[in-house]
Amino acid sequence: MGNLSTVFKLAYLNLRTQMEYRVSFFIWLGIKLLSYGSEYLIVWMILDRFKGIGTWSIPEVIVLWAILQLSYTLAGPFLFHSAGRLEQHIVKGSLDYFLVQPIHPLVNLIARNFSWTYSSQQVMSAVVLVIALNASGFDWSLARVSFLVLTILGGISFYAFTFLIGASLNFRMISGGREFGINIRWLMEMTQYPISIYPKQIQAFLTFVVPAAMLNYYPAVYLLDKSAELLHPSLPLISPLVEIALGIIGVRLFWKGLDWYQSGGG
Amino acid sequence: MIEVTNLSKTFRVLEGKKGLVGAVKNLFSRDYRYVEAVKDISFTVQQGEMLGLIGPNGAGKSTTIKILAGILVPTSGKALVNGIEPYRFRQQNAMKVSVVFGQRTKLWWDLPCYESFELHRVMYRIPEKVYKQNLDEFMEFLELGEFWNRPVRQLSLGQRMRAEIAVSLLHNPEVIYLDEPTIGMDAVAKERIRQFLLNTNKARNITLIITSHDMADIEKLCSRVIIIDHGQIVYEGDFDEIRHRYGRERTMVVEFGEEYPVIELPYGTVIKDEGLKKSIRFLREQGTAIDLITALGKHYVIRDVSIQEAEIESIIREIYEVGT
Amino acid sequence: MSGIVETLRTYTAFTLCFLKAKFIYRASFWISLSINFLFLLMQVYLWKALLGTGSLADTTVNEMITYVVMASVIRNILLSRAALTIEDRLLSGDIVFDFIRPLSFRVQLLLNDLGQALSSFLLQSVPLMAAALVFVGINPPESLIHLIAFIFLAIGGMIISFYTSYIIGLVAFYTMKAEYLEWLIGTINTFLSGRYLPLWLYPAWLRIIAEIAPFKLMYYTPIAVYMGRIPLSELPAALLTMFVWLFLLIGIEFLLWKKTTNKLVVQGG
Repeated sequence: MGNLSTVFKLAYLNLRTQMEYRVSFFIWLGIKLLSYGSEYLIVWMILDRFKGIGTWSIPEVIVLWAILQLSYTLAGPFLFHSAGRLEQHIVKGSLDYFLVQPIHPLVNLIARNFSWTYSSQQVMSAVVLVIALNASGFDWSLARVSFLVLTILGGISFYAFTFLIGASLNFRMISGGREFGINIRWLMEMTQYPISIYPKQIQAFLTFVVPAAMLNYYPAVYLLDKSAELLHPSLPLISPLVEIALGIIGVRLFWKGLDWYQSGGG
Repeated sequence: MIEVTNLSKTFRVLEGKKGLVGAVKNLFSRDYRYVEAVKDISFTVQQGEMLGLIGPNGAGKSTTIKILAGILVPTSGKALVNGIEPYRFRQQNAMKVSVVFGQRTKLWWDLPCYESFELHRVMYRIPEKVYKQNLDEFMEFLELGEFWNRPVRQLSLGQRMRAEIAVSLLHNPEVIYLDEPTIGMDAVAKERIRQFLLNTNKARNITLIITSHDMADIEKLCSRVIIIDHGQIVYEGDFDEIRHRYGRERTMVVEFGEEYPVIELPYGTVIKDEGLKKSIRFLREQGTAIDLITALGKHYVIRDVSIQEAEIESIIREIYEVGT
Repeated sequence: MSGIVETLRTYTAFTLCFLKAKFIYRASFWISLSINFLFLLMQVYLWKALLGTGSLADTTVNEMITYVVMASVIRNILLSRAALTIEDRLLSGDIVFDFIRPLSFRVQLLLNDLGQALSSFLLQSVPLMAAALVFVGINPPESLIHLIAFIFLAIGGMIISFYTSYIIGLVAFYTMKAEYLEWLIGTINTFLSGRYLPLWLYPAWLRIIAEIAPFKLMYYTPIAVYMGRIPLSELPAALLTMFVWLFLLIGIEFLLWKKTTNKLVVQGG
């Protein structure tokens, strides 16, 4: 693993680097906040005219969206820059150094490229989620809250999966590895609305092919006690587990990619 | 001690296809080619030795170094560095070795130089005393103070390499691998690095394995040399032996006082006649340069002489070509 | 005369380049096309779910669907790479070489973007529209005149989009990284261009701002004309507005450009 102090040291150096561009740091923070808020505002503008979408009230739709956002902003700092930098490292050849340092290469990569600009968004997403849950009449029982936590973990895992699969492709020198992950994340925007608005084929696609709906829709059905026509009744409860499993698969793919790099490429 | 036994490494390389149609086809099926970068090589390196790995580009030297460093995994055969396989026990191995790639940096690009040193201290868990001692020493010899506070991206190549090597030695590794460490540097900078490496080796008994295209590096640093070509060891021994075995020819450029149309030589032949300056080539076994000059001096007016050693480069080239 | 031939030749070269490039990365081409289409579907189904068979502010489902499809079609031609290129060139000082070339840098930028727009239109918008016609169904244009006006306005909107981008690139040179400014303007654009929602559905206060700004000319105005929401009588006004903004933006860009390059020449990069 490489001991903790190394990780902190790397993260500190990373922060220092980002702070070097001090003005940019804060401007970027501000801009991200603005664009983030505006996405929310547009959705609200559209929905405000209506009392919701189908059987989903406005707060409930916002819950869907907030789960996505919170998962992303929690996963993003670890993975966003790292994935991009990995490609650079491989091309420049500096990845080799990671393999000769007494610290886990993945930990090394992430600690160096941890992104510090997500904190405001994390707070915002969490606040929005809590408010929306409340407005939806969420039952704050232990069971449901635990499931909520599990859902978020699943969300983080799935986002991690999208980054890791891209990284794995990078190792195999298949161009467009990073884009692949980006594309999947775009696709996931479709689940910010309840997928019941889509025809069955698209629902199936978003459940079984790219399980984005398992991130927020199905768990929300359980969390908010919705009676909805589902492709399969077990989906709500197993969804977070599937997402977490995908996260683990992602890590494995990363290692396989690294193995390949060591014995194939270069 | 480093033991390499029957080491082989084969790469799978993508074959690109030609043209637009090929590019489209490429998306569906890929052709592969197998390249044997390293073919069944074996050698041993004792602790404290300074070994040079030389060979033409693509010969397999970088591959060998990467395997020894633990970056690549061999296809077959084994490499043992102080008893462990570096590619299997990477982190354990990492604590005791160092790698320097001349063309890539491990220093933190945007931050002042000293931060990279600090990082190294934490990463390798170097005790305070050891760190200070080493740092003082390196500071002095390599004059790191010149650029200690400057961001790495602003350093010149020579400065960066000094920092790079210093950082790599902070944790007192037992082995250090250097891949083209002096590439692109000017003569003065190269000399400084070489001197530093020599001193370090003497003082700490570190094993040094170095590849370089600059023969002067290898000559000045290495007691032993391994020549690799096409993935195989073509020669193993020291420089004197190389010169002795392969460098039989010597060339002497003599500047005469007059333009003599014909020169009579006790041995050797005139290979180039530029009027006053003539190049004479002779074989070592025929006689020494001194004797030749003395003989010439008796009959002709000589203004200046320069003797060209059979250059290591050309000897090596000769070996490469023969080795094909 | 030769300037025009030169220009045309360069333009064709750029377009062909983009077309070729898109074909070589066929996988990414199909993927981006699919994703664009899925995005479109997302909006279509959203509106279907929201409006059902009813209507809002007398906008029917089909109208909304038409709106959303046309917006997707337009999106592809508005993208400009210019801002970052400008920043790069100015920073590196390479810009001075462009003064020697037969075709000025600014013209090249424009041609570059036009070429890309054309290739994107052919490769992304057309397939998208075809898929939409088959799977979704859109309303036909209000009339032939409206259709022609729509094309004019769309092209005008595209050029406005380009010049906004160029101005950003130049301004960014003085203030901050182009990337940030682009994001900022992109965010504002989202609200004021009518990309996701027709202006007539906007809350009153926002509508006022949107009507004043030039951004609506990129999405709202062309589409509203296509759909006949802007009647024949108002067409001249719409076109006039477009020309005024074009004139303004091109003018500002020109002045900024002069100022920046003068500064460079005097200071020597």
